[in-house]
Amino acid sequence: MGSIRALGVAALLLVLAGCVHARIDETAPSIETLKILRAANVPPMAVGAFVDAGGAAPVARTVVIRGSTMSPPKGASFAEFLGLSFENELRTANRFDPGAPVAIAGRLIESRAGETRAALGVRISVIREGTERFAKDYRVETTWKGDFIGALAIPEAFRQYNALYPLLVRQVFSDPAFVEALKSP
Amino acid sequence: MLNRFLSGRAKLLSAFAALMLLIAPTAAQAAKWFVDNTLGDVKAEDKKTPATPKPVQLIFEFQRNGEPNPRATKEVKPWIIESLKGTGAFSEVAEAPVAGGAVLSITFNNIVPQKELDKAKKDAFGAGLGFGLFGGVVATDRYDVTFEYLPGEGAPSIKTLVQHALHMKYGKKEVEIPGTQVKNVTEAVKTVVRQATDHGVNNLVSDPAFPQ
Repeated sequence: MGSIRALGVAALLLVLAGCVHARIDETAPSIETLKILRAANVPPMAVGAFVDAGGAAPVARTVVIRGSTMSPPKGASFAEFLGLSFENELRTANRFDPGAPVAIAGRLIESRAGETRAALGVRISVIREGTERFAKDYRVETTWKGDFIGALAIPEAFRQYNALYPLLVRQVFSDPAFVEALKSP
Repeated sequence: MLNRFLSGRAKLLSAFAALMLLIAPTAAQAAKWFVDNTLGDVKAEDKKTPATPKPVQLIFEFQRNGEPNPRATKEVKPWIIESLKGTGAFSEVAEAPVAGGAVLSITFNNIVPQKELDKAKKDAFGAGLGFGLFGGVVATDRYDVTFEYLPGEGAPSIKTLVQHALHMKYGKKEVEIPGTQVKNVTEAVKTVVRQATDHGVNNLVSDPAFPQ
C-alpha cells in the first residue's frame, strides 16, 4: 500500500508541474488610500504617462515562476498598469480629473518577482502646466515563505507581485513631500 | 488540471479545498459543505434600517491571511452588492463616488493558519489518493469580515467585525459538523457572504453615529 501511494504521489507531483499563463489582475482600491487622500486634502489631478524606464529593454518583463507566466493586461505594459492603479485609487477617492492643471507621471525603474521575494520601484513626477516640479523614487518589496507544491507556490508568487502595485500607490500618496508638491502653485 | 485549480470557486476556499480539487476533482465534488451555525441570519426583531437610506460607495476586497486576492475579489463582489441592496440600509450601492461622499469598505479575510494548512495538505493527499476509502478530512475556512463606514468627507468612521466559517467534509470521517449543509460550494460561499453582510450592516446601522 505504501509503495502504491508513493507512486501516486510522484505521479501527482508531475501533474502539479503544469504551466499556467495568467494576466495580472486589477487590484481593489482601498479605504486606507482613500482616507490618506481625504486627510491630506489632496487636490484632483490628472494621470500622465507611465513608461518603462528600460525603453526597448524593459525592466518589467513577463513574470516567470517555474515556467508559468504572468503578463500585463492585454494591450498594456506593467508600467501602464501601474498608472492605471494610480488612476483607479484617485477615481475611487474622487480625486481624478483629466483636465486638472497638475498631473502625476511615472517611470517604472524596478520590477522583480521570484518564488519568495518581489519588488517594484517607480520614479514619480509631479507635472504642473507641462513643467516637472517634483521627482522622487519609491520602492516596495515583499518576502514570503515559498511552497514545494507548484500549484500553491506559483499563484502565491503571482499574487504577491500583483499586491505590490496598490502598496506602491499608497506609499506615494502617503509621502508629505509628494502631497506638498501637488499643492504648490 | 492546474487551470482547474485556478478557476472557478475553488480559489475562494482554503488551500486545502483547492488542493483537494487539484488532486481528485471528482472527490472534491463529492465533498459536503456546511455553513457554520454560530452566526446565522439576522433575526427580524433585531433588524435595523435607517428612516432615510442614503447612497453609498462600496470598496470591497477579498483577502487570504490579510493579503489581497484580486481574483476572489472580482468573483465575490457581485454577491456583496446583491446582499447590500437586500439590507435596505442604502438607497444606492455604487462603486463610483456618490453624493454625500459616504463610503463602505468591506474586507473578507480568509484566515488559514500555516499549521492547519500543513495538516490539510497531508490529509488531502491521503484522502484524495484513497478516494475517501482510507480516511477522511474535515477542513474549516474561517472569515474575519471587517466593515468600515465613512458617512462623508471629514466624518469619523464606524467599524465592526463579523466572524464566520465554512466547513468541508470529505471521505469516511465520523465527526459532528457545527453547520448547516448546503448543496454545493457556490451556495456555501454565497450564504456566508449574505449572512456576514447582513450582520455587518445591521451593526453599522445600529450605531448612533450612523446617519438615520
